[in-house]
Amino acid sequence: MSAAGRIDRAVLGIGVASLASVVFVVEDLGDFRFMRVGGGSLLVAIGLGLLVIVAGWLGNVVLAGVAGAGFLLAALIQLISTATGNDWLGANLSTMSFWLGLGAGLLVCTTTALLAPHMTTEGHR
Amino acid sequence: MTADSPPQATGPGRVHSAWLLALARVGVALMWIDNTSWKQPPDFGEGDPPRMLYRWTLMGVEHEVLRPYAWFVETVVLPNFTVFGWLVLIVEASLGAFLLVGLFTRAFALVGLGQSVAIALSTLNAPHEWYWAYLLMFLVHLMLFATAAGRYGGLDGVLRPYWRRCDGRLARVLMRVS
Repeated sequence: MSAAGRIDRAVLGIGVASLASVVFVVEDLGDFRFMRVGGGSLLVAIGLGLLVIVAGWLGNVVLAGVAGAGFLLAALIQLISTATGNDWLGANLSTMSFWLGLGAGLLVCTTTALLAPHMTTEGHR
Repeated sequence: MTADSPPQATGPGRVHSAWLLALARVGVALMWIDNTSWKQPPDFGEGDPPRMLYRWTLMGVEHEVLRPYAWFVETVVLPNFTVFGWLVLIVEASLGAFLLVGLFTRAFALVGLGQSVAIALSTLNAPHEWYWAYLLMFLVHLMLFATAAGRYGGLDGVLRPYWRRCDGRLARVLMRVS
């Protein structure tokens, strides 16, 4: 697999991880409910997850970067929500940590692909 | 999978070992992610009665493990607990985040080592604590560091070939921390 293909596959994996986090809607998971997902956070997980999958599928690292920024914004909103005693997204700080990972990962993928274009096999990346 | 420093096994065994390493890394990340939820700003549990992070930090004084550490907690950490709370939240949220995607894994494995020691020094002698839990936390981060676990099923393995071909100090730093 080409280097560019590996980045696209990694982006795809991050999108799948976001969709997979929907499982944490289930309250019966007990101690295995590692993060809280529900309400607005469900839209973040599904909406941004699908966007990232499309970005990985199309090999569009800019779109992946936009989705990454979206995850970081969602993480920031969750932090503010918790710090002010609110529950705007139906998530918690564990969800914030999860989104931080997805967002940072996507942005580093985008930045690396854009700044090291000689490794790609196609144009317009 | 990975582009460099492959495990010593060959064939299917190598692939399986790589994915098992990735599984271990993600499992450790989920431990940190899970435990980020109770580091809640703005008070981090400071109050009467003490709760959450503040209560566990207090254990380092009430059930002393190491006298200099207990002195540090009592005279520096507790009087400035809000700053300390934010620091813990940032460190543990970042540990979960970066170990999950396998980005800058060796650096975060070292951070995890340090945080495991700090937690152990606060809670090792607390009632009902199992000291092997803290030793295992320390050892698993040592394993993540030694194997550069982010190179297997993680972003480090995907991005290192790019960084290797880049000139400059930043690329060299990225190679070292991954």
